[in-house]
Amino acid sequence: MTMDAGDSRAGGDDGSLVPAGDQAATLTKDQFRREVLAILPQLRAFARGICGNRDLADDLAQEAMMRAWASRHTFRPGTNFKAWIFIILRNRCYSLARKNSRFVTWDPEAAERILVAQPTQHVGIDLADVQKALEKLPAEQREMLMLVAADMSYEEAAEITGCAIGTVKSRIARGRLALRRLLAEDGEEGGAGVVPAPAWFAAGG
Amino acid sequence: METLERHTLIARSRIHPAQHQDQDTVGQGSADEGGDGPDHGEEAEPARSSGPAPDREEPDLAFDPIAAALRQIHDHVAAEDIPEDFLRLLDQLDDSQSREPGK
Repeated sequence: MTMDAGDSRAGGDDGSLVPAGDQAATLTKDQFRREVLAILPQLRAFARGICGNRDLADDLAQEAMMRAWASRHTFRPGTNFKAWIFIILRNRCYSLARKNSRFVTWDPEAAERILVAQPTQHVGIDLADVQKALEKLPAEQREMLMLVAADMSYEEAAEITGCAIGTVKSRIARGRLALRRLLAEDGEEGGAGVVPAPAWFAAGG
Repeated sequence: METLERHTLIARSRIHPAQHQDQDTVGQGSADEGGDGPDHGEEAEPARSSGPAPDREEPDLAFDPIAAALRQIHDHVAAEDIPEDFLRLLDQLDDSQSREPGK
C-alpha cells in the first residue's frame, strides 16, 4: 500500500494558512503547549490511522508539533488550532510518503492491542480486521475516515484536506463501502464475516 | 438478529450523538462527487470552516458498525498515555526555534 494521495493545497509543510504580512499575535509557549496537549491524543490517533505504524506515527506527530511551533506565527489565534496542526501533520506525512514508497507497514503489536477491544466485536466486526482493511484503502479515503473518527466535522475535514465538502462525503462513503467489501471478502474466506449494510447504504446512498 | 440489535443499541450509546449523526448521514450525500483518484477535478468549491453547520439536516438513525469500529480504533489510540518524549519535547520548546515569516 502506498500513500500517494497527498494534497498539499491545504497549506505548505509548515501548515502556513495565512500569507506573510497577515500575522496576528503569535502563540506564547504556554498557549501553544496547552493547545497541543489538548489535541495530542487525536493527533497521534490520526497519524497512526493514516500511516499504520505506531513509531512512524509518533515521529510524525512529534515533527508536526515542532513544525507547528516553528511556524506559530502563521497561526491566527481564535481560529481552529486542531485543523491547523492536522494540516501540518498530514502534509508532512504525504511529503514523507512520496519519498519513501514502503511507508505503511502492518503493525502486529497494534493489532494485538486492538483485539482486546470488545464492544464492536459483538456486532460482528473484528477491529483488527477493520484496521487491516483500512490499510488497504486508498490514502484519500483512509484519511477521511480517520478524520471523521477523530470527531472532525465535514467542514474541518475539507479544510484539512483542501477538498470540497462534497468530496469529503464522497470519499467517506466510498471508504466505508470499500471497507465493507473487504470485510465481506474476508468473511467469505473464513475471516470476520459479512458486515450488515447500514440503512443509507442499503437504500442506495 | 436480536442479539445484533441489542448490541447495536449498546454500541450506539457509546458514540457521541453529533458524531453519530455525522457518520450516518454521509452516504446520503454525493457519492457521485469527487472520485477515487487523488483529487483530480475536485477543487470546485473551497473549504470553509465557519458558518452554520450544514449536512446535519438529514437525521438517519441507522447504526453503521464500520463507523463505530473506526471510531473505536481511533479512540483506542487516543486513550493511550502521552509518551514521555512528547512531553519532553514540549518542555524544550525554545523561542529561538521560530522561523521568521517568509523564510
